Amino acid sequence: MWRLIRKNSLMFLLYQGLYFGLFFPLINRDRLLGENPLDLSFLLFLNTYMIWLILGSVWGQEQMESKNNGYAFLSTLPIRSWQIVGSKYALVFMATLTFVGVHLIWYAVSFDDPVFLAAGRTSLIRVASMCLLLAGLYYLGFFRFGYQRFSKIAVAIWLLMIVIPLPLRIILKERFGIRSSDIFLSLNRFNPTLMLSLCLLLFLGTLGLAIRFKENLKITE
Amino acid sequence: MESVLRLHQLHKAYAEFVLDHIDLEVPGGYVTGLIGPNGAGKTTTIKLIMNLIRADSGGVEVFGLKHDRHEIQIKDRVGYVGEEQFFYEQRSAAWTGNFVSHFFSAWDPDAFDHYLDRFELPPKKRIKKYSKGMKVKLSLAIALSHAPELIILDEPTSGLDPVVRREVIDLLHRAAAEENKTVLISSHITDDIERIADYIVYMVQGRIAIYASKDELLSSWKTIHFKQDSVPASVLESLEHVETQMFGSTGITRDFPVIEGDLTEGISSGSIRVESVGLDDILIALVNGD
Repeated sequence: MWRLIRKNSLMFLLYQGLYFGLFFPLINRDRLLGENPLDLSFLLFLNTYMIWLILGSVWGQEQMESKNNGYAFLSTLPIRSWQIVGSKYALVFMATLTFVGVHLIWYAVSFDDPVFLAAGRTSLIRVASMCLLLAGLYYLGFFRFGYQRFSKIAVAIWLLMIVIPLPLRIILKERFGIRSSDIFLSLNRFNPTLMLSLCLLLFLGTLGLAIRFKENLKITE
Repeated sequence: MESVLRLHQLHKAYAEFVLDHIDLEVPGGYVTGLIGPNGAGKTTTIKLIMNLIRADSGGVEVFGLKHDRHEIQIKDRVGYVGEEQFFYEQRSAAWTGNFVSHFFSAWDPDAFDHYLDRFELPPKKRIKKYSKGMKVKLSLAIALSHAPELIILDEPTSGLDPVVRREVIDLLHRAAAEENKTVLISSHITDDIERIADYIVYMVQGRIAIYASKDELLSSWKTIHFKQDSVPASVLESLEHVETQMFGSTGITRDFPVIEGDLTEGISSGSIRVESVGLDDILIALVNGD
């Protein structure tokens, strides 16, 4: 499986290289130069880069796979479906771990205030959990529908996610008296360790399902 | 004679095509040619053998093993060249060889380099810059470099120029003759099959129309040219696709050894002439007669 991970790693390395080689130093320029203390809200924003980094790599990787008919090529070789799918999930896990690891070190170096450090860690775990879950769902979609179909579905979902929040916010407030900020605050209270465990479990669950979908792709061809 | 490949009541239905419960046994150490018109089911059969698609019913056994439990072992021992060539096109042949080498237990890097050299494939060039023929050759180089016991080729020579086509066919012929490998090759170019095959399978509309040794086939099928009143009724009954022209009639028979005795008189008087057929004549007869 290591060979498959290596084959797939190009896109992930590209994104990681872009982030750690360009964005990360730029974003943290002031702090690196020791000019300003790191702002907590900015730090939380920084963590969300992880979603772009991981999902972008997943998307790019599947686009390449689709362009080259990679799965058709791999299916002629003595490789098991779980190895093909497993290598993708392993890479997502490794890339997430790298992001989390580097940032944890960075926060430990950057923050003197333990409250800030704890907030940074918590936020990082939450975003990492979301990342794993979303990447798992992405792969599930890719193996269920194929790149061409799922990429259209995913774009539609993302567009809906941009459009829906505003009317939803109005409806929630006017009909039910719920403020959207309350929802976010309640999410924020969610135990990060529990969230990580749950998302890891779901990540593994999507892995199992994706292997089945990959196997069943033969039926529909 | 031991069978390397066995298909049992293999069935696969698509919206506009059905592979209809086919049975087939491919003998080890020989070249078996799969002939049929486009859409006859050759590629579907081969994809089912390679477990690239799933059958609706029936079974495939390769080396006595089934895909559901031994897919890896089977693919490790099979060299496969598909109808279309898929590679990571941004990569080179050298990278591809190195990549696939880790999955085959008997990969021979020297053999791979030898085939790249022999086929004049630049190892460092990106595959996307290869021509179709070069991609087929690369596919063949991979298929032959892991000491396969069974080589399966789906229309490997279509789209190749005649020189390369001959080279590929000769290479396969030698692999079967000198290295005792089993080859299953599908093609609608009957010349290729006629050149190398020991056994012939004709597929027409998702069914196996004929399965016989090439020698047996070519000795049983003959074209008979005759003057209308010069052949006995028993001969006429065995003729298919009789065409009458100004100077006589022509028909094709699949029972020449049976009717041969009835033709002796006509042959000696010159009113009957017997000609050998080519594999394509048989194919045309089968397709028209279906």
